[in-house]
This record gives sequence, structure tokens and C-alpha cells, in this order.
Amino acid sequence: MADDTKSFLALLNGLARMNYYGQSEITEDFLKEQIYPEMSQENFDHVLTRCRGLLKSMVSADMDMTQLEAFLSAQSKKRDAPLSEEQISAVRKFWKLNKTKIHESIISQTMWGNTLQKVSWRIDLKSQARHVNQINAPSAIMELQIGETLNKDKAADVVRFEMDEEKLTRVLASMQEIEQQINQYVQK
Amino acid sequence: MSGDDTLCKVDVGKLVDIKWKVGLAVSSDECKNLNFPFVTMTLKTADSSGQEHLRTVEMTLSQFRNLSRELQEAAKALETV
Repeated sequence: MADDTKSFLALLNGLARMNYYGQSEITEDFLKEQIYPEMSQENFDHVLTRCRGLLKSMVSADMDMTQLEAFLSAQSKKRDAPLSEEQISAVRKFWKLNKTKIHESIISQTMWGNTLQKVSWRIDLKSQARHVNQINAPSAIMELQIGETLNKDKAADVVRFEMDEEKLTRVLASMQEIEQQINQYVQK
Repeated sequence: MSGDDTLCKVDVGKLVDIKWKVGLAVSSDECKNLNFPFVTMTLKTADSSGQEHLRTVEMTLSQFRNLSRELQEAAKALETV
């Protein structure tokens, strides 16, 4: 019976890797072969549909552990194919480890516009300048790589700009302000 | 920094202005309970001829915090020069 927990957990993990962790090389046939080699295709399809459904509900609601328990309890009382104790313990174990990771993957898959992929910077000292007072004034040169999340093949755009100390101080103040605004939402 | 050589050759623009907004993604087809904050920024830069350029970029919270941390590091380095 412990084997049932193990197989069910392996199937949930496989589906998560396939659907949320970008391992598209994993196929349903591969999962059947690895986890349920003895099972008939028909029975496997049932288990697979069940697992997909569970995963979809848990991911869609981003269930916390209390919600999960209520959900699993309802699933164990269903007239049609109720979840067994072993399966429930597999789901519980799976969700504990994967809830945050899956939600993070959903978030990054939901950023469709141009996103910030890389930040680099360098400090320069000007040794030559049009105006004497610019000489030896240090400045920060930022390089931002901006690319489309959904279009990974396209090369990222590079934006470079220079800031003197005063500018950078003002930008940092903006960053702080943004952080404060964000915290109003995150600390809930 | 990727390609220090190119950086020396190109004309690096100056930052003119940053506009920002903080958004909250509420729900999507895949997740009804999405609830994550994100930052959208528009950077206005000007090249040496005075020509202005606008670029808009979206950031998740971790991407934004990474940018913020790098800017703080740069500011620290700038002070010590």
C-alpha cells in the first residue's frame, strides 16, 4: 500500500515537471513506463486524468494547507473514485514541497511583456570631457538586458545609460518608494 | 559586464527620467488566485545628440529587488571612487 503513495507522488511530480518546470521532454508515455509499467492503458488514463484535475484545482486556487485539507477530505468522500488514504498522503506531501515553486513558475509564465533579464554596471572616471568640470567626475554606467519572456529565441535588447552620483541617489529614492508600495501588498 | 569592449566604443546615453508603477496581478486562466505584485518602469535616456529614447520593462518582485540591489552596489562603488 505504501507503494501506492510512492507511485501517486511520482506521477504528481512528473506532471509538475512537465507542466510547470519546463521539462517538456517528459511525456505521458514516459510517465506510464516509469511509474505504472504493469497497469493497463485505460486505468493509467484514469489515474492521469485524476492527477491532472487535482493539480489544476490546487494550482488555480494556490491552496494553503488548510484549504488543501478541506479539498482532500471532499475528494475522499466522492462517490466516484474517492481518493485513498495513500493517495491523500501523496498529494499532501507533494503540495507541501511544490506549492511555492509552482506558483513562482506561474508568475514568471504570466509576465508576457518585456522583462528585465540581466543587470550589470560599471563605474567610470572621465579622463577627457568637453567641460573641465566633468573631468574626474565618476559616473555609474548601467546595462540592462530586456527581453520577451515568451520569445526566448529573440535576442535581448540592451539598454545602457550613465548616471552621476546625484542622479543615482534620486533613482535609489524611487526604488525605495517602489519597495514601500510593494510591501503594502506582500505583507498581507 | 557583457562585452566591456563594446561599452567603451558606443556612446552611452544619459538617464533622463524613470517612470514607474506597481501593479497587482489578480487572476489568470491558469490561476484564479494569482496575487503577485509587479513593477513596470519606463526609462527615458538621451544620447549625445540629445535624441531621447523610451524603453519599458516589466519586473517580478525578485527581478525588481535584484535591480534595486545592483543600484545600491553601484552607489556604494561610486562613493568610494
